[in-house]
Amino acid sequence: MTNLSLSENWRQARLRPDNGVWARVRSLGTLRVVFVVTLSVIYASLFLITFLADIDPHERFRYNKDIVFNEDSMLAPGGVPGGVIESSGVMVYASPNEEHWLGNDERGRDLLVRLAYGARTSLTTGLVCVTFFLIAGTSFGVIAGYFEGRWHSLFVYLFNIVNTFPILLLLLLAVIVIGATVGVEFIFLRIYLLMACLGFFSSPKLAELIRGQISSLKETAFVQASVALGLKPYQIIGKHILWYECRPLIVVQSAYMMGQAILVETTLTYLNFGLEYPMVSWGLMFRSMAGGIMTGRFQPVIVMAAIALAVYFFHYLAGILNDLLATEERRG
Amino acid sequence: MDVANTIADPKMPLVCVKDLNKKYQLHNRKTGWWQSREDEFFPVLRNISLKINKGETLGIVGESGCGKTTLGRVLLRLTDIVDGKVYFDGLDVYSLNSSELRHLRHRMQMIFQNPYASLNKHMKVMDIVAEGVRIKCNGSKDEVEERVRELLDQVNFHKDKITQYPSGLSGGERRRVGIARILAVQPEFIVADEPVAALDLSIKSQVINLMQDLKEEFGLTFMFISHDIGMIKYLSDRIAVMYLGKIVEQGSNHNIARNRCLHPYTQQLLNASSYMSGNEKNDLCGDGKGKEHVWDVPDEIPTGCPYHPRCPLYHQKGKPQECREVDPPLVSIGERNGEKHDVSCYFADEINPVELGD
Amino acid sequence: MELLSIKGLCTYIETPRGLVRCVDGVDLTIHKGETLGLVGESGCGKTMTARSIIGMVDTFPGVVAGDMWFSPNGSGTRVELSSSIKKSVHIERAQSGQIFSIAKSMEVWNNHNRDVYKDLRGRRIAMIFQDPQTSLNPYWTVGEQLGEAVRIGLESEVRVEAEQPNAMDPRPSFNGEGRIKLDKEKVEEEIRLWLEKVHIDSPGRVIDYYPHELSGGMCQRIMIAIALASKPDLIIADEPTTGLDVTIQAHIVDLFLELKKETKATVLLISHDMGLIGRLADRIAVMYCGRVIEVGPKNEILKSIHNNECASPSPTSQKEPEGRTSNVDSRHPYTVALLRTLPGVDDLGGKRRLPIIEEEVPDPLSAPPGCSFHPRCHVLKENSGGLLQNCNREIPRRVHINAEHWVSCWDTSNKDSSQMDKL
Repeated sequence: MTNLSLSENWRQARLRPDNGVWARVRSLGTLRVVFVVTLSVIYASLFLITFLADIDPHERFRYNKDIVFNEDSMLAPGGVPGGVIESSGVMVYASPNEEHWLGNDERGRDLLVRLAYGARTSLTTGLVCVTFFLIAGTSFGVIAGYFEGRWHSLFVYLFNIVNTFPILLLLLLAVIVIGATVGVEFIFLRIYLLMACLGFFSSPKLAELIRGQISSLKETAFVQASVALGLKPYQIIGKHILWYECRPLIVVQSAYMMGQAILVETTLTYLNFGLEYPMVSWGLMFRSMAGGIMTGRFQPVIVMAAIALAVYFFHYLAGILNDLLATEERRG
Repeated sequence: MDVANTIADPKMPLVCVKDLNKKYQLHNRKTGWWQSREDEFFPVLRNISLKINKGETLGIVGESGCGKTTLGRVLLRLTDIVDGKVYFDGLDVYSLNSSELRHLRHRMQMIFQNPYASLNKHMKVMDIVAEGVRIKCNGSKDEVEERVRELLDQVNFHKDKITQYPSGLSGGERRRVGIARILAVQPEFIVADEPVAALDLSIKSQVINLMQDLKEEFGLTFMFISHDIGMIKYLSDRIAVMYLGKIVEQGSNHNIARNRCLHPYTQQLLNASSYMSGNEKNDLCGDGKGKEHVWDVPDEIPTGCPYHPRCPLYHQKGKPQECREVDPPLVSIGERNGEKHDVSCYFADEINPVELGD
Repeated sequence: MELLSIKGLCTYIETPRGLVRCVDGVDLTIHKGETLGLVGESGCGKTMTARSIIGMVDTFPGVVAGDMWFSPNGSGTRVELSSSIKKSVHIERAQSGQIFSIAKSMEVWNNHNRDVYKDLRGRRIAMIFQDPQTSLNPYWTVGEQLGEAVRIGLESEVRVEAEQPNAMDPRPSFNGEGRIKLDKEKVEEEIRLWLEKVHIDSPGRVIDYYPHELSGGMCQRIMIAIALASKPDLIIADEPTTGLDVTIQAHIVDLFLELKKETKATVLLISHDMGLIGRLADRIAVMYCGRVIEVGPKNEILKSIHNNECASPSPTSQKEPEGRTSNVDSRHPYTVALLRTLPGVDDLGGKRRLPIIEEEVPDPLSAPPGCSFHPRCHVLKENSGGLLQNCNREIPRRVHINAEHWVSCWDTSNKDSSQMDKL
């Protein structure tokens, strides 16, 4: 029940405090926050483990009778190793044991370690992609928004054309070009170049959104007031439009793009166009273990789950950020 | 040329407008994007000529749609013009490049119509005014804050509300923040577009007094734009009456009063205004209402004198042809009480017969 | 003959920031044939009063409480407009700190409304809204919208002629039962007639126009035509001329006066424009912060305007017209101060500084205790003591200056304090 007793210092009551960040976070709902926080912690720890711990994604598992297998595990009921020992003494497709906590893959390497390295790769390639996406998108958007008349229409047409192109085809084109130009010693660069291309080809979407915002905001009174005040154009566009109005848009699109980058990397690697050994990525793991699905192995499922969860996480984050940042507009 | 530091010559008019013409493109395009036809344009301003002297207040009155807001924006080069010249302190505003223009902008400012929309709703009051302060003053953060407080004090803005967002302020307070921001760049000329229209009755007088105080203290030159002729008469030294993009009468405040003005439209505005403010004893607005007159501003500009469909004189005189065919030019009818007076009507001396030199 | 009687109307709306007391105890009476002007600045609750009367409070959770009676046609029968739940108990509880949310959801509110208001809205109580271009349906032409109202008006005539047995509710109900067949040509002729009555030239063309193709003045006139065409008993006009040019305002005022004379309508006119009220109203009620602080006949409240003197009693004003015996201003300080801030016609060139009312209109979430005007009151600043000590503690009781004029103020220096209401 609200207490309606009218305070005597009603003048003080007039000045209300601002809505803080925590209020906004709380308004999202506990479940969503917990979900996002848990997944980010897991992701971050996987990423950090690769730097901090002394592990090797290429080390193989030599079978030893003394190694204890997890008895109660669903994946190895009754403590049976469940793997196959190859002629070289390496056990592949083993179940979780005390050395390899999630078991190992088709070459006998620790699955968890490889997942961690894969997380690292997906994060780095995703970041490269998003960086290019952001820079190209905002630049093109700002340039297009600055013009009026025929040039403006031209930009809009261009954006629409590139947007409707299927991106995988463009990327295959990029693969060919990159494969031809980049030499063997820079082979690890290829995937980063590919990701940069992905960011670049996806940028018209962001550019179009930004251009739309700029066009509509150009005529608003506060932008006209800034122009009348005599501010420089970069101040007006940079601060008033991009930072205050477009920021939610940009952040959300970037988060979404990150998820897309992971998916695209997986797809390309599966098609054998992306990474290769000795780099480690989830896509590569999935590709090599794909045959194991037919024979009932659980390891591919874990990799698929990791990829799916990561992509879902970023898309979900995009949604959460939208809510979090958009509430700024409802201030006061 | 050093645009920022020129001091206005007191003998020359501060703002001078010659034969200004502006057209808006209508949305219904009938031709391709590389062509354009005459009838797709709506002439918003037609051959406007004005002079404003330093320290003077010019009031622009007219109904909505007559182009007065556009005139204000054109003076400040917020939109482009088709034709004509705008001179600010001798400089041709439309021939400056962008950096010179930016420096010139610091000398002429505008108070916008909507007090809320003209502030960025994501910025606090402190930031809004600091933005203006930083243009002129490159000091440290403390100096800037000091100056912001000083400015807000000058406009009687409550100190406790400095960290609020515009949505937490009332209309009068938002207006004050806008004025503080403008003052931060130390302008000489201010175009005030409907400064008090959106405010409560009890706040209107506060803001008007504020503007009078600022005018006296800083020696500002104002151009007030409003549709409320009562407010304009209270605030201005000279008045220009606009109708459908043209100036139909221009003169000193004293001469554009009821029963002293010369254009029938001005007379209608004054009658209606006095009627609505309750100063008229008659029961009905006595300017020849009735079914034979058109009440509303027409969509398309009539040929000849734009006012003739609504003009009581036109109907009284049996619809003379010259009103229908040729647009009467704005002619000066000499001086009344030492002030120049211009009218655009063929029958200017029949509304309120005056003697020149009166 | 009372058409509408409101006692103790309270509309409280609960928002995440607190309880907003939009209307805080309003008493009004409207008699048949008169125009009551409800004046106040924005935020004082006059629009919410209108919406509470007509049952269009659409923000929830909230409560509308109080006694509201409407007697159609001025006949003796009364329709109770307020909620069917016991009223006085809840006003007391609401004011003492407990909210009783009647409308926790739109469903509850809608059910109540359907029963009480279905025969009243648009038929007996018509409303003219503030922004004409957005208040007309943008998908329908003018002819169709006006036709709706005209049909209601014609049906009521036919129904009355046929002497339907239900004297309480002679109009057909909304779900279409008992609809009377009307001649299409007659309806069109009536539409044209109404358009001409509101001075729209070329009505034949305008009938097929959509609202966005017309100017504000024309849309407002069409809204007036719609309101009047259904031949209501009460018209509520909410800021009918705000946003229009002054010449159009003057024309609309003339139109109103003309139509009032012709149809003898009862109007509740809500505005912040003193000039408009001065022209159209017979009685004036002044509102501030959700309460009515003064009610009286027009001549007494706007006396400075109508006696053609300068709006401020400054030494440079013209001399007082003769024949006025009392110089005592027994109006509420708010009314006095508000009228003083308007510039007169003879105030040229800013020679005289306008008197101001200090501070701002209070935020509805934190209204001052006691009399809501006391922080800005010039009378309180000049005097103190006696009953004025209550200004910041208790809501002032009413002082009846004469039979038709009362003020809610503790300052009885120029009023007869024996006329104060004993609460």
